[in-house]
Amino acid sequence: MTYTRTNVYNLPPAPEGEWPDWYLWYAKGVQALQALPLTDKFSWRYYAAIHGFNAEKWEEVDQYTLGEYLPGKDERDIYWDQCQHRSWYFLPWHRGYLYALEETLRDTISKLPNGPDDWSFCYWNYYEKGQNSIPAPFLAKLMPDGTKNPLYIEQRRRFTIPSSQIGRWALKQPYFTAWLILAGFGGPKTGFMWSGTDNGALENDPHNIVHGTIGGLMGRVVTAAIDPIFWLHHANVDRMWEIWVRAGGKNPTETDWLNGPIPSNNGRVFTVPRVSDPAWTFTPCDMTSIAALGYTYDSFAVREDDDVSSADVTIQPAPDRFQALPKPSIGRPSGVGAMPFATPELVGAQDGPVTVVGYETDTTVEVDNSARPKLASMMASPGNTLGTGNQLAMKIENVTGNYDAVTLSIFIVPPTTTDLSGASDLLVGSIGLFGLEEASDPNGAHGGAGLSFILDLTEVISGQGWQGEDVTVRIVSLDPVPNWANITIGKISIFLLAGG
Amino acid sequence: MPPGSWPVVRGVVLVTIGAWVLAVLQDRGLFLPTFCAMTVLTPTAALASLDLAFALNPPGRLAAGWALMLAAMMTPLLVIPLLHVRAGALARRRLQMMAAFLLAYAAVWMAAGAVLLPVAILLRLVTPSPWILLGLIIPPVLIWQASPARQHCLNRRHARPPLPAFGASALVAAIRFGAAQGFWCIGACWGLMLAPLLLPHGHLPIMAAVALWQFAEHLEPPEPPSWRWRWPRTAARSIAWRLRNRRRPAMAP
Repeated sequence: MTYTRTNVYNLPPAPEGEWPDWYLWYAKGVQALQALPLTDKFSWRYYAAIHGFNAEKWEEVDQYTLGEYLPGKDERDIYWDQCQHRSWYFLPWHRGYLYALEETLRDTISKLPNGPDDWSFCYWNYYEKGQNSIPAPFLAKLMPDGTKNPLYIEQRRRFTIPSSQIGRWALKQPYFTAWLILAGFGGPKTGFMWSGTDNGALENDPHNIVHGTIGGLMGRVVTAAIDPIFWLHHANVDRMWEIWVRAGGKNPTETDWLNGPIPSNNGRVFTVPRVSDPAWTFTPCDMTSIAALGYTYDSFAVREDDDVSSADVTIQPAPDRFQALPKPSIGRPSGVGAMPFATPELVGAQDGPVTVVGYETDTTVEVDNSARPKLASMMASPGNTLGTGNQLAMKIENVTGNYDAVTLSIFIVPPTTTDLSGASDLLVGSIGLFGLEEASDPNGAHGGAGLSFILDLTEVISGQGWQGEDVTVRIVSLDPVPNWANITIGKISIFLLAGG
Repeated sequence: MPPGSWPVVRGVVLVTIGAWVLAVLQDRGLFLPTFCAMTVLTPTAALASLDLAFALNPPGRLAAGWALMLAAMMTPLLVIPLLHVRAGALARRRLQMMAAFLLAYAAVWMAAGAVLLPVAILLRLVTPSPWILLGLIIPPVLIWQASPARQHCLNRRHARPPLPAFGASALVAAIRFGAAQGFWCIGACWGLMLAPLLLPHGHLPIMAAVALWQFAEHLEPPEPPSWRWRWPRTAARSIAWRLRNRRRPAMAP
């Protein structure tokens, strides 16, 4: 049987004052799992702890009581704190994670009186017009029958994802694995990675941004999966992976990914309890086909008014601008037929760390004098573009702090503008700081190196009359960034990948 | 491996091989004091022997031996920090920045040698037998190896600070990064580095064993500091996993 994950906004309508059945069954399923103790592998909190657990932070949000029984350390070392972030395992791990809980919920719901036996997750497509708000039943304190609503989470900060905050540029990524100055659709090659540094394109936007915009439990890695909306968000992320594949994207074919994870943390593997196998282990290879997993989605359009094959949505497996680049001789990432091989060159950087506070922070990226003539000569191409084969990217590195629920939109001020109001600023992209606390931990994976993002600058800068001058970067936050968040960007750089 | 890695990797491999070839070819005395047969039981005799020891091992020679030992054992640990420096430097300043990093790293380790070598010599002189010395030195070293403080040192070696690109601040940052790497490296490695200095025989095999251990250890991911004995298992697991995968190809996606 193939289960279909439906757009949560397209459920059959319910009578006034009622909820569509899907919500009722999801709420009842969640409620049943919430009633189980934390030591039960099939409890709601156990699944959340598989994503991440921190006793202190769970206690803060009333999800854990000090002294409450936990599973033994050996068991926690196998199951808990497992989510893969800033890693090429991000997508397959989360697919397996959703798959396991969906099966557990289906089993639980089917055993409830009159419970359906074909229940599956819905997805929340915040890209769709009029659907960028958390669905109403998640915001109601009570269920239609007047009982407590388990889908309601008090700590959520925002209920709507502004359409200006999320982009679809991840779908344009030609390669799954990060390479050169491309963030990669799926992220950088790593071993088992609970908290890495470099964000893949889809992981940053929309994944991180949606987490951070909702905030509350969703805003932190160690509490995110407690919020029932988490699963609808990740179903949409999972759907976007399938959209990318259907549009021609190639998953990695190397064994390091397919048979992963590469053992880098006490030999951990991906292990999530399933009803049919409480110690179920899986590899990315097992996650490459949703048909083989027995589920599908009701739509594979990012937005219903989009044609998936249109150029602004779909990826370009071999974009024209890469055609002129020499082919790689070594180190070619898998899943790629023809790869550019060149060394990116740092051509500009801002001097010293930037502290991000309030709504807006400006900084200047100084362009190296020796690089200006080359950039000016490239920009002399027709249409004031960089010319075929040349790429420009902005790298935002060493982002540290102690507040994850922040989304920063990165603008550049057009080089020729006299308008300082911000109205003509050019959006390079948005970055979500989900995972910031863990990445800033000096005892974390990269010694507190923080988060890192790569945004494409090639198209943004084209046609703007830029001749290699210094670039004013404007960092804008939807909500004011508080002082206590200590959010610092260590370095903003501009890299050139010259393919000519 | 990040782009542009190959020249760095090649340089590190060449320096490491060169240092090991020199180490094998050189007289053992270049590395280590040649007073291991002495038996010193009194402070007066120890002081006399100290003079003799330093006469036989002039500071310049000791420093050269120490530098060679560092080149052989520590260079392989520098690939990732060097790549970080390279990636964050303007093309015209890559060599300069990497050289500044290396000099700072080496300077810190050489300063550590100025402490560790005389201590090693003194310990050898005042202890009747090298085996007794080992018996005395092993417990505190093992305690340090299992300590949270050492895990903190291991963790800090994973730090990748932002490096400015322009002006003197770029050089200063590279120097600070090199010095910090050296400092945390000393904290992580000093205990094991004593082994080739104090053991009476088999220095080269011991050096090789310690170098391999340290290389494997630097591949371990950071962990919360705690009292715990740590085996560097990631490298072994990774090799075994790859060998297994080679025999059992992945399923077609």
